[in-house]
Amino acid sequence: MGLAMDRSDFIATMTAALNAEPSAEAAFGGRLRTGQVKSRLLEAHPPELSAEGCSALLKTVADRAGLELQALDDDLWALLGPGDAFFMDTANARFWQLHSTARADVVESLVKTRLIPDHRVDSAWMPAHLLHKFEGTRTWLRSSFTSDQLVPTDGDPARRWRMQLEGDAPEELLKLIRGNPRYASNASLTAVGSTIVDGHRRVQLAANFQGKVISQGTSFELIAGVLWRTGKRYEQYVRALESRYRLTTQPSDSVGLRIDGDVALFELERHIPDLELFLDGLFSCREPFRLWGVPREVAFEQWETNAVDLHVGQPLRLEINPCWIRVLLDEHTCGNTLARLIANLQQHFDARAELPAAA
Amino acid sequence: MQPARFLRRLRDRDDTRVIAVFVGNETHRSDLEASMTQHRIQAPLLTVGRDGARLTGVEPSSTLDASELAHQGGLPPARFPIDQLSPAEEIRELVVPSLVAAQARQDEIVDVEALCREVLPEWSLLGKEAQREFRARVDDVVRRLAEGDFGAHFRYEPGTKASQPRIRVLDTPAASDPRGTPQGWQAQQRRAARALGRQRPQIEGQLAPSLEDLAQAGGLGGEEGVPDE
Repeated sequence: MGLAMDRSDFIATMTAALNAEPSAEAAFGGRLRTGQVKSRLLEAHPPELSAEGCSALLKTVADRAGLELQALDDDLWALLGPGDAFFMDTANARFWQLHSTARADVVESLVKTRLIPDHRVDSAWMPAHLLHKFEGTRTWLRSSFTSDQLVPTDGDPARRWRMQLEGDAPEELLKLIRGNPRYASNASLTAVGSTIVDGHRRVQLAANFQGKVISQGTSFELIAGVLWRTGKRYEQYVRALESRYRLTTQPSDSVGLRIDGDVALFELERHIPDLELFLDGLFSCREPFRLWGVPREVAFEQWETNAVDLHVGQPLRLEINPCWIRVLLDEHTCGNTLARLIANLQQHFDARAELPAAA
Repeated sequence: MQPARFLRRLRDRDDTRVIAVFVGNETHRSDLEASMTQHRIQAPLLTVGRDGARLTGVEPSSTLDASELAHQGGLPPARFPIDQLSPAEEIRELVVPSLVAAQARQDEIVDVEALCREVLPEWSLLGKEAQREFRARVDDVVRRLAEGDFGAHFRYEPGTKASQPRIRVLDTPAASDPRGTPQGWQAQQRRAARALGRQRPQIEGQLAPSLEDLAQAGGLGGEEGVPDE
């Protein structure tokens, strides 16, 4: 089948697929479809941060999914199924990108049932401020808010909504809605869509808070550039969270024990109306939070839990009262755990939830 | 600035007097005062509680003011939830989630000493005897857990000449069909609730699979993991 191809050939082939050119149909044994590319921004923990480490983790994933793993170029891999091809870019050994022209439900199934269940692979959890930075001329956005798990079902004017805005500068309209105190906590930014024009090349991309991106147009090179820079911003965000909020202790000759790191504090503009219900939802072990814990009330309306992020198997401590949530990260707990919490609090409790250093 | 560098800089200044201040939780104030008296320590004591902070033991000539300060911040964050002398039930509060985290990672073995390092930040500062005593206490906690409700999930393996005491993970919900995984973890929560003596052994939302679980199982999940209405 002659799969070896360098990165520039790969980009040219994907561009051909976007443009429905005949050359794309021959590539990868007819496994490329034409029209759209579905991508995922992922955070991975290979056994070591190297090409060998990525290869070992990808091999596990490919075996589990019944896919054939082939190296295309340095840090570029193809996972081949009977009818579809999936490409993994591991140029950044921790922050990966998956691309495929397969149907959206096929890509979703691979990610949900083969990639994400592995505790070494997680989605990128984009908070609103990173979605706002998504490149291009904004022409579309979605606000999809649901708070069923965390707040009582009565008394909330917009407990659940799905809103789609199309046109010029749709973020202005979302800002307008957020300005109304009645809807301020519900106006989450769930997905954005942009158009990018560069000379004769034109692409459209839509990205959501779970690191899903779908794109179409005339140039995969333009798309790959946007995704690379988006991934880079996400990496900086996660590393900033780790740098500031991992709590570490080091023995020190001069002062005994040196303590570093800040407690992450969410000061909630929307107070938690029913703490026990909130805790039940947060620690239900289900998506989207996937947190395990057995909360205890240590003082009136103050609860604490030594929790576990079930996705990555890392401990963290949460202290919660109606006005704030404190998160104490372990020395080795991944920043993506905090990123997941921030993004999901925005989508399921208060669109304004944010950590000062992370915004 | 590094704390040690900061202290050195202060020590070098003639016009700055550096004194040690003992800091603790307000709920432990009487114990701290008794210990300081017993060890003939004369130093300021700052305690922080749910509604306020208190500073006492300040010398009249000091520039520090003995005072009480009210705040609305709730209990201080527990950066050090336990120390080497904490009761077994507090150690258990940390050991149980650590074992569950190992299950989520699908680890097969957890060394008791690694567990000690994980739950006790000052582990490396302890002398050999203090480490041995704390390890024995953690050992006792995990052994009792494995003999109880967690017996089907963890086995305690005593130390031998060749190996340290350790816990073998026998089973984990992480290895089951993804559709049943939340229920498996929730069952683990109920076991933990019993082991930790919680009064709310069952969380209301855990009685039945949620609508989302139902929708996902049937392939009806919405784009953001939310079922369409």
